[in-house]
Amino acid sequence: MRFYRISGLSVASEIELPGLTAIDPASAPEVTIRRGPVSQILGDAIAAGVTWQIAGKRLLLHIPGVARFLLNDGREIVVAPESAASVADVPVFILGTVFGILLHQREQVVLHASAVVAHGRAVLFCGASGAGKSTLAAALTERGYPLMSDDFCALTLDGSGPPLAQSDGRQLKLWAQAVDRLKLAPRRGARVRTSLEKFYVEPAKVFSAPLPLGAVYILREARPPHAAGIDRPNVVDAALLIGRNAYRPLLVERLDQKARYFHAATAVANAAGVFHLTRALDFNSLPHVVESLEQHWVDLQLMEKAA
Amino acid sequence: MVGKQGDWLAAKVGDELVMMSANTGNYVGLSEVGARIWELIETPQDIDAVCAQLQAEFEVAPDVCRAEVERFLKELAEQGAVALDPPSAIDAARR
Repeated sequence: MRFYRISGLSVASEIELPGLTAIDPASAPEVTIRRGPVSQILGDAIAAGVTWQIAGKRLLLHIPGVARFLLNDGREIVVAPESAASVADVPVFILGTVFGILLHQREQVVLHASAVVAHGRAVLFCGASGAGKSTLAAALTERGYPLMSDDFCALTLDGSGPPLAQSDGRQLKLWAQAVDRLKLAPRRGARVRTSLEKFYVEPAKVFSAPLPLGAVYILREARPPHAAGIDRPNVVDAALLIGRNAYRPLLVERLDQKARYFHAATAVANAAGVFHLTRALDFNSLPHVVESLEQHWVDLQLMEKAA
Repeated sequence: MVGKQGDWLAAKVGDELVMMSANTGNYVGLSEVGARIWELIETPQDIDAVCAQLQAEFEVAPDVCRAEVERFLKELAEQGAVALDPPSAIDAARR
């Protein structure tokens, strides 16, 4: 067994998950991942699509050419790889779609975001794949702001306090060019997928406990009509933007989640500032973006809030 | 009379109220005063009663208040968030 922390949860896994930092063994892990046979169909399925079936608290997911996954009540993942060759690609699906659905079974809200710690608060960067979340998080981590999560940030909303961002033991996932430009080659690890020029990179510094949200930035590329800078959308747009950046695999999107995500979006908008961070999508502008963020945190008085 | 309509989720963000239609997924934002009107029409109300209550709570001239409330309710009616009974209640009152 290997032990990891994923989105704040302790996980025991029979399958090695590259890209995660191993933790000390947990006596009662919250989630168990094991290999085993997974049936073709769930006999008592109440809903089904081409690649998935749901029966009560169980969900069967088929990723063609990779594996079949059975998710039990947010507590267990059973994996049946399709072939010996597909085993290597299983972890990336476990950490993406499969864990996204599992968190959904646990009624957690997940944002498509990378997070770092600034002045004792979680600062999130949201955006679709390719928006530059990981590159920006990597640049900030190199500058001394510990990494909390990459690509995927689970939020805990208990209704009483401010939303908490959960830390994640995930390493950064960066394209070869970003590794090169940020001079991270010495900490470059395995490829994310056999066919991708994308690599796991050990972050310079990590933070592994939940933290209240300080600010949420929605990444946007600078091009007309959007000039570079940081601005604050109105509250309706802020709530919509948070909702749009929810990490919801297509399957989760189809289940009726509107109410949960609406409340999460408004809770986030209430507790933390939601901003557009508009910048040129090139490596040369990164140092300037980092500087303007640092100035913004001073303006926001994140330091005083955390104290 | 004016009353709420449709299946709306609402949450305060600062002084404002953000609402989402559970049916359509449409979002609407209400200002502080708009949020107060939304509270006042929890049960169907006469528009005159809503205006009287607002005048008691906010410093506003009666005619300005009436015009603003009507404009606001009209917008909400367009979003499907309130029902006016009769549908011409606002225009009728103006005449």
